[in-house]
Amino acid sequence: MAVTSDNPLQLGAGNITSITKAPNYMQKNTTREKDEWTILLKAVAVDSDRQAFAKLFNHFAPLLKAYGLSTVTSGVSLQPFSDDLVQEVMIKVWNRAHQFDSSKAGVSTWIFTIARNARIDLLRRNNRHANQLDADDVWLEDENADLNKEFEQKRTQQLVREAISQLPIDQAQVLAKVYLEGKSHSEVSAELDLPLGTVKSRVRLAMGKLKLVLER
Amino acid sequence: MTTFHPDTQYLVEYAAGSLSIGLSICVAAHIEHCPQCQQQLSGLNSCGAALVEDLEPANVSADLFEKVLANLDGKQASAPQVLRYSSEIPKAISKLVPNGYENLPWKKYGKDLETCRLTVGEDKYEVSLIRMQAGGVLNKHTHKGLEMTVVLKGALSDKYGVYKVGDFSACNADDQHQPMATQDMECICLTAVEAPVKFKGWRSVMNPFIEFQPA
Repeated sequence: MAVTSDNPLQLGAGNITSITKAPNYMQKNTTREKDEWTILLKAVAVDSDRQAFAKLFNHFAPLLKAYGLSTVTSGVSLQPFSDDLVQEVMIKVWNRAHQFDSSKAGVSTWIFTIARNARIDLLRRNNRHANQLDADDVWLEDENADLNKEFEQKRTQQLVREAISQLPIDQAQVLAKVYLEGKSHSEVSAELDLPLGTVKSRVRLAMGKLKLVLER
Repeated sequence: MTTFHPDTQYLVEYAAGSLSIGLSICVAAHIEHCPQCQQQLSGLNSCGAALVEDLEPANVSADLFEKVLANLDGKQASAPQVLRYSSEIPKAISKLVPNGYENLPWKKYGKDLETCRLTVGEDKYEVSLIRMQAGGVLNKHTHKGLEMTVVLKGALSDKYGVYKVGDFSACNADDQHQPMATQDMECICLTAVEAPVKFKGWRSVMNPFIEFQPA
């Protein structure tokens, strides 16, 4: 059972009452938080600082576990392996802290990509195929480096979070299924009994609102 | 610069990790050549991060942190080295092509065409490399499901235009097409096919994909 299947919208804030007050406070708070994660991760990278690592663990481990618990794709649930997921990801955070580049991605995005790849490997580890490839071979590190973009990076992350909380429920539900449960568009279309085109257009509309789709 | 990009659907699924590995290899091979899609992908990754940040935190048992600590090395691992035979080979398949295209076990079909299947560890999509001589024509074919193609070397043309290195195409079942290598050089492309590809016409007797059909 997926934790999110009944309530894919565990998206916390974003109710109408918070609109007038929240942004100011949230932005200040989040900017401070984001800087804090970067500082902590650098302390792990440079000084092998275990206290800094503990602070990262306390914030991210419960979220990573929730991510593992919400995963259910092709009828396979990751629930029994959610502690393994947390362990693998946090060990990689420790081992790769020196590779973190704040000009490429924010800390939480960097950790998300590690968690996504660890999840893919956990799901693939139990299938019957010989796995010559690891997720890290195919899901490559963020290449979008730009030394001047660090501020913009944080701003994007903040805007995305705010915009997600404003999405119509049907769009947020589809995003949660694709990202959190790990389902393809066709799986979502079968599960929700919606035409594939509807799923695609909900995702596209959502990404448009999050300003993540480029016009070409 | 690439001209033909993957649809948003595939970029989102790739970012979310919900795209099958065979298709993801094709998307990754395109992204490697496309700064525009790299930029879009980093936004789509941050969407994943935001969704995870907004999850209700789950209870983590007290001993999990101890377990993690017990597994930490004193010294941090150095960055994994990407050893590539040549930059012509996409990172995603560099492990599968360790000695270059020349040394793959190509199978020849006719005078223009060679193919080599890659083992990627899934059975829904079959991933292959296709090599066409300059000016070579891939027979008119249809396929039951999705077919993704990325040009890795040379150029390919079909009714939609000319595909250069990094250009991406995704065709569905009813989309009959006849890609052709341009006249100036050989063309190598990466392809993932959902179901058996059926060739039309008399050359179907040497249908090069017949052995690619999943059981």
